[in-house]
Amino acid sequence: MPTDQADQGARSPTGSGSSRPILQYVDVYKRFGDVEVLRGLSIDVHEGERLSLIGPSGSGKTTVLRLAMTLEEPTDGLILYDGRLLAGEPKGGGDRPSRRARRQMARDFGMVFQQFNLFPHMTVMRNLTEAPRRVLKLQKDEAAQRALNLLEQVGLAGLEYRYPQQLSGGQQQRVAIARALAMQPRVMLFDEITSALDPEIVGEVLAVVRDIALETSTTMLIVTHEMRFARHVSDRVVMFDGGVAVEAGPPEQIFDAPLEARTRDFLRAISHGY
Amino acid sequence: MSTITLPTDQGAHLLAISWQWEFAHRVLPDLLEALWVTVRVTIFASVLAVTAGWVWLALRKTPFLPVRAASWLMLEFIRDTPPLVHLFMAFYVFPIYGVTWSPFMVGVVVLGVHYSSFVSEVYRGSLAAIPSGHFEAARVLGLSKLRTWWSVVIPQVLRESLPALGNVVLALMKETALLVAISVPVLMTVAQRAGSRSFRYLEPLTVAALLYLLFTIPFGLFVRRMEKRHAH
Repeated sequence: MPTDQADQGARSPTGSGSSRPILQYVDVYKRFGDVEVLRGLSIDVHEGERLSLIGPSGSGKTTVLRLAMTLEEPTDGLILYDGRLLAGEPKGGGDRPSRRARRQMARDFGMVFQQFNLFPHMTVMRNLTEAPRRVLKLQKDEAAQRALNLLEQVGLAGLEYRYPQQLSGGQQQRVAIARALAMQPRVMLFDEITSALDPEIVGEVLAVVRDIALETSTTMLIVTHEMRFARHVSDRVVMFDGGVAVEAGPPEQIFDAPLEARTRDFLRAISHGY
Repeated sequence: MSTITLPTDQGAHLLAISWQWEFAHRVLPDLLEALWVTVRVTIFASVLAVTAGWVWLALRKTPFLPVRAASWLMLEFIRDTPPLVHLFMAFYVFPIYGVTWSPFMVGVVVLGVHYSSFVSEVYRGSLAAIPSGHFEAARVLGLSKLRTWWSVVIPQVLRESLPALGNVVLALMKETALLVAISVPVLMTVAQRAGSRSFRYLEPLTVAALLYLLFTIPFGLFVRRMEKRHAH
């Protein structure tokens, strides 16, 4: 464990390796038609860990998140949550989780999308309270109070009765983050949350994520193209290419002294791209 | 008064068409009453069309193939055959099988069902316009399928469909003229009756047309405004 606080940035107090895995990918394959997006992926994500996935477009990073959310089914391999089967066909025909059990597990996950996906016909307030009320069965004022606190936290107090299209992209994405947090998930999945934003507002969104990382112990899986952000917020970074994890390690290793040529090439390519 | 005289001398006075205010006045009360019938048919049939449109959409989205196939076939039949056929079918044939509806009821049901096939197309287009991300977001938030439809899908489909639904109501109102065929006392029927009684069609038909316009023009403007606001 690094002891230097400044260097450690927004990383979780526990760090990786010190606690049990909350989410495990065991030799996961995913094919879309002829395209093999994941080719035998195995990663353990630990409770409280902040794990960033980096790599070229089409390397399967987003699919990793969508599999955890059961928005996609693995072609082969297993995904375990908290030691229980979440997705995949166990070899030798073990128990498949019931729909109910899967939904129960999915409730522990929150996801933020590249395209925000706020409900355009609902106010910010209703976007934030709909799921807590309908799924968690919170009372109306309890859900509203939770929403107001979250809006405060993401720096959008006072905008609760606006509609999404009345907000900037950065504000919309912050609402989407608040919406996911309103369900109090144990695991947050961030899928290229700044890719659809203008460069000058990327910072405000990432700052919100960093603050959440600092203030909570939520496990985070982050797919991003923002390398400085990944370095700052992650306990561990996984470099993806061609459907496999090429290299995994602490951000210092990945960004300052990558072991693999492909990681080096990727980092060089994107730094020249800007 | 302007007079158009046809270029024949015998019977010219009979065929001469000249506007008579007095006659227009005389037929007005009946036509106003007919307007009310027309509006009622339009409202009831519209409500039926807008509601049944959902039923069609649900049937077409069911995972059970035979139901999907059957509903597709029925929709094609309804959409691609003249509504007059349905009208006569319901009016003359249904009673044989014990289904005896009043002409008003037949009119409402036939027009409502006919236009529901268009409404379901409208809904289908609006549904396709909802980004798949909204369904995923709902799923990620743990909303049930039913809840997702109720809170996320239906409001958006309705909002997206509103201008097109306005046009359906407009078309439906004009189509009520068809009910002359089964003697529902709508504007067209009453105007035609007044004309045949007196051999003067000019005034009743003109007044009837103006009464249609009284509704269709403001409503049309309203729909156009909706479309514009929608397009932004």
